[in-house]
Amino acid sequence: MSNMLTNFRSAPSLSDFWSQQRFSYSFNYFLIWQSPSLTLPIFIPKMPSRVAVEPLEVVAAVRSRLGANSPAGLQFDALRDSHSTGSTSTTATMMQLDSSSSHPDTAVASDAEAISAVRLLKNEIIGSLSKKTAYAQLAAIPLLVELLDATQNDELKLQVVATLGSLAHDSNARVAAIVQAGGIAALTRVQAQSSSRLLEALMRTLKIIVASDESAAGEWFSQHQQFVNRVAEMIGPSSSGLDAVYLFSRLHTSGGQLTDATLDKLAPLLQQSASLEPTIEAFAALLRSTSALIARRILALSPLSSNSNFAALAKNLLKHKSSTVRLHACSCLISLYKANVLPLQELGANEVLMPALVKLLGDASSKVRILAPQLIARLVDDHEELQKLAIDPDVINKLAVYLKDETNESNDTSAIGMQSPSIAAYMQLHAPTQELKAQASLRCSALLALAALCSKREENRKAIADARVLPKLVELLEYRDESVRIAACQLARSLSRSVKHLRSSLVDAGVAKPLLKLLSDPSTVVQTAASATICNIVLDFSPMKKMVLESGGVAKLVELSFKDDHDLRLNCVWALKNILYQAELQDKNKVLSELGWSKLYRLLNDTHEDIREQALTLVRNLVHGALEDIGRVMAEFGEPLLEHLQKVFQEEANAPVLVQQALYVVCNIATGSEAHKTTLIQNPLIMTSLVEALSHADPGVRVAAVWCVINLAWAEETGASDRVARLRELHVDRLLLAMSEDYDLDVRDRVKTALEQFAHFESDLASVSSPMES
Amino acid sequence: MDSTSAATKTITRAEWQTMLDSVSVSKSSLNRLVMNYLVIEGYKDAAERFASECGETPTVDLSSIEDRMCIRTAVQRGAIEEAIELVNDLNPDILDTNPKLCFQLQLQRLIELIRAGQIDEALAFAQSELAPRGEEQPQFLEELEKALALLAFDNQRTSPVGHLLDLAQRQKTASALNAAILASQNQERDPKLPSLLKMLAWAQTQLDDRTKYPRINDVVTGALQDPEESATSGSSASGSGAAGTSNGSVPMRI
Repeated sequence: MSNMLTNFRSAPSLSDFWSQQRFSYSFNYFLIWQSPSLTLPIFIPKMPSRVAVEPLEVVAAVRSRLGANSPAGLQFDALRDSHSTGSTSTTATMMQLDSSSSHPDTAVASDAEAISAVRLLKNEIIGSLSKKTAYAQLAAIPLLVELLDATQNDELKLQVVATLGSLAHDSNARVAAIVQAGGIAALTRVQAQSSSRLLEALMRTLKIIVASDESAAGEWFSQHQQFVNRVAEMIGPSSSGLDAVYLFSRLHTSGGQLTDATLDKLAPLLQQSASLEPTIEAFAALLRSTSALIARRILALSPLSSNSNFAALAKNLLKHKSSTVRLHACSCLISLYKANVLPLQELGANEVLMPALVKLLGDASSKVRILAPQLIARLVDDHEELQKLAIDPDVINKLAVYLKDETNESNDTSAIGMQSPSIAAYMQLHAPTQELKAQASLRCSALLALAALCSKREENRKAIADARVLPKLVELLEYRDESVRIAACQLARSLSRSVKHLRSSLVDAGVAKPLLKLLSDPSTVVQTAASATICNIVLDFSPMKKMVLESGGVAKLVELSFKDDHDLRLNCVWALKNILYQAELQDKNKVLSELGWSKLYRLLNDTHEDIREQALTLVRNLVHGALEDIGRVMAEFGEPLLEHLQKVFQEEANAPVLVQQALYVVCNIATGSEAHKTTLIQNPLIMTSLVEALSHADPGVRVAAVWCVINLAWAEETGASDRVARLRELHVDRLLLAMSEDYDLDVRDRVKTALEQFAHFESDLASVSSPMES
Repeated sequence: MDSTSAATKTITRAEWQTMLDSVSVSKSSLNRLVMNYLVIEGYKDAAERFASECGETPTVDLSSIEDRMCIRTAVQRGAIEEAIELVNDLNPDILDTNPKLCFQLQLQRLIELIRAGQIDEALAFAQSELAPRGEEQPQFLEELEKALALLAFDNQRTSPVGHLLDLAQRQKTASALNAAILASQNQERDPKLPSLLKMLAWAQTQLDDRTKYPRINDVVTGALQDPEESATSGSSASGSGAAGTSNGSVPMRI
């Protein structure tokens, strides 16, 4: 490669170079860029240079400020020893270390020496992800944290604080390391009153830590709320005051801390252009996480110059020139509405809010573009009226654009000038991770917004299908990013609530196959999302049901019904139940052959009530249908099933949903052959439970019980008179007579039908009962 | 023109003045406008004196202006490493949150090494500093490729990538850094005053077609020129020309 350079430099003249060498120029580079692990064209072999800094030496210099017995220091010494033996050293530069240059036994370095070492470290890592990782691996974080406590020197503290902030940038792992090293505690111990620069750095670093990993830092602060109170007092227009605004909005855990005094400090910051953006962002964060009570107090904030209240101010800000301000103003309004503090008619959803959100969908900042659809989703979620208001061809089209391949970024670089083919090829192979992340987030939030927009409203499903989103949706079900796959399942699920789409567009798009594939996804969350969608596509009228049955879907669903994750189990049992709903015998056989009594029994005895309920409903669907259907089940496991039903009646008396489903199983069996009916009627425990259920407090249970009676007493069936006689022995007829006055209409209707059956068979009670009827 | 000029109304100075007087612009708004200009353009001493004279509190800590100006001149001198250290002392977040700017600065450092003929250092620097960043963000590689292409030429200045050695390249880097610092302080990157003057020029051009009125031809004095006088001096073309030149006299930075 060094030859290439010499060739270039000795090229006879400029014009010759361009005419003769152009091909070799780009060709050589092409080879370089294509190499699997990227190394830049390095023309000259390794050479020491003053521009290169040795990380191990820098950290060693920091370490030397701490004593021989410093815990973090000793940790580093051990690391250094392992590096100097060369056994674990992975980079060439590390091996060049002169291990005698600094030794733990030498005297402790001065603050001044430490300042220059830490400052060097700071300047090394700022803006470089790889160096941050490298320094963190050299135990720089615990060393810096210890140094923070060890020194009284403000300048040294300042450098350490700033360096910790840079290390915390965008990394959960390094924030975790800081928390683990006691870094947050050490930072909050720093006395910064004497130096405004130190205070600024301190607040900035805390802000970065919280912004990089809100949950890890939040956990620490939730146990140290007195610090959050201190933060609230620092709120103000200065740089550290605005960082305090951010920290407070993210760290307060209970509304109690949002005192009037704090609100009074926040309100004026909304009036100044320099502090508006961080403050409205803080209000958006506060409103997202607080109670209606706090929301009401924020709404009534005063004074807000010419605005009558906070909502009026937020509405005015929807026209602000900064898209970030507009975004947070939208968020505030939505939160106020969601907290039931701002009525729908005052929200201005149609007039101002949606137009502002739609405009944000096309914003230049990808951060805004990612967040805007999430706000739309939050606004319309589960609300048909708002879904109607929000739907607009512009919204769908703009969201649909999100799903397409982003070309903006590459346009950016091509605008600079000639783009060599080598770079283009390289970028296709290794798209930058940050860009990929942003693309995934864009897609994810667009899919979720579309899913929310059509979760309740059929017309919106049609509009979305018409916008040709479905082919893209099918593609995204197999997207490399997990969150996108989950969001795609969500949209497929919303669309699959439409019978029409289940029969047509979703089938045409081929949504079933990738969904089935996702049941084997490495991520449980994806499996769960996919199984929830499959619940809908296996319904009776869906052509995709056949596909699921034919491509091993049942076996997979059965397998997943026994996983640890509760939601996944629930969805899969639910899907199996839906498959069995009014299913053909051959399909039932398919499920039964996979499931079998022993597995079914496990599901019926699951630790979670909702799963037991779905399992009972599954049995209910299984024994629904022709004599053959019931016969198959009863022949295979009739006896243990009836035993289980007895158990449900006895042990689950406090769970009406379970009693009700168990009764429907009985009810369906009672439509079977005479033998099946006899089995039931001769089962004393079941019959007692049935009689008790007739006077159950829950009308749903009463209806189910009356249905059982109707089926057992159905006059046209053979042996009906014997069964009616048996029911009369149990005083069912008297109970039914009493129930004809039931407050529940459904119960009364069913009771009427049941009494009609009884009327076919004479009884001495009939004459007695007539006076009661009047 | 003729058809409209028949309908053209002349507004006398007195009428104009009455209209102007009816618009209330508070003294403090004007002061803030001036302060905004001084702060953003980096006139620290002037801002300090202005603050003490009119009692207007500056929107930022005035010492930050000095820091910002130091950083800008360091880049303009080609002392990139120094500028990076200064900006990191001012606020480490600026370069951490602006990978593009960060790369641009490192690239400028590479260009400066090449300019100084320190080829070995330049290559070592590209290898140790720029290559990993390029790996993190491949969209920067093209710029790096161009800068390294400088090394391929004996006469770098006349080469197709010679413009990288122009002082304009330093100026570009300095402006980008300045804008990022201002943004980190929640400040606009451009002062409001020049855009107001541009608006004035535009509005007068629009008015010229419709009416005769007392014009401001010299924005330095802001004096109104009576419509008769301006009519003799010519049409709207000269008017906008005057606004244009006085616009140029405002020390705007490019």
